[in-house]
Amino acid sequence: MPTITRTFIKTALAYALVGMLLSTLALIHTAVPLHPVLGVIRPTALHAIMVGWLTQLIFGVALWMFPVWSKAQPRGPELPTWLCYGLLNAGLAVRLLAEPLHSYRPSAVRGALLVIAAVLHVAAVLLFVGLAWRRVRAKHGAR
Amino acid sequence: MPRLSCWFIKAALLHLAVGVVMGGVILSAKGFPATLGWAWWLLSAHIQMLVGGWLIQLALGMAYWMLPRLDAAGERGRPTAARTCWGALNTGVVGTAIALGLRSFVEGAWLDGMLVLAALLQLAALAAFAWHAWPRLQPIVVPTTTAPQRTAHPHQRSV
Repeated sequence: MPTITRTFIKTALAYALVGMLLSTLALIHTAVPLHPVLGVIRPTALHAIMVGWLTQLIFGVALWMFPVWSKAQPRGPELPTWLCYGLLNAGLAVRLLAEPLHSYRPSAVRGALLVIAAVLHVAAVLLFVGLAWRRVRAKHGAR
Repeated sequence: MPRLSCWFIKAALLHLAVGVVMGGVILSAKGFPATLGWAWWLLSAHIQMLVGGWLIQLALGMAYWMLPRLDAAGERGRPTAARTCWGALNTGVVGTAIALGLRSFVEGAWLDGMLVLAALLQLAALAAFAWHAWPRLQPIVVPTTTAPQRTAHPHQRSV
């Protein structure tokens, strides 16, 4: 398994834990109030699981399993692949911090951080789409 | 990778790109609700495109590629049903996303009709895929002639 795939999958596992922890805390908070931030954390928990876990896992496995880019570079160019990983996780980290805090106590700085997180997410995904697009091709003669 | 899996996966990638751009605008709207508050009408379309168009479609495309084939010639079985699934799923997802988005601004029986039709198309797509995939879901057949030291499970079919 290539290094980039292992890195994506290990990070995805970490986000699965973080997402489930946040979801659990949010659920406990509905029964036993713990902290007001936990009342607005559900969208963040959902995206930690859907983007941090599921999408990141898919990206890692796709880079491993999709037909090769070329004989010289079976997984495609390394730099954009790592850049995709970096952008996605930087976006997630910024979002994880800024979203609940902004929902709890809005400010222009936190609002700007959300825009930065959005731009990082979009850039990572468009980069992945570009990398994967070329590798999604039929074998000669395949039906 | 079979050609139909390419269709599924490339369509899934397009849905991912569009869905995430929508999500990015919505997330920015959280930061600046006064200027980007209009973006919330994209929420239903964002969910629809990422769940139906990206995740489900990618899973179907990979399943068409990876599920066991029916014979040594590589027959995947009922390809018309799988192609129907691709058409119905994409029409259904895009139709649902448009109808849900427009319902934030306009009302009309035609819009409700479009939503119902798009939802039924998605249901039909999944039914068509299940119809295609059912015969391919069979136990692994161990070729006993080439691997004499391994014995097949009693419930497995012989070659």
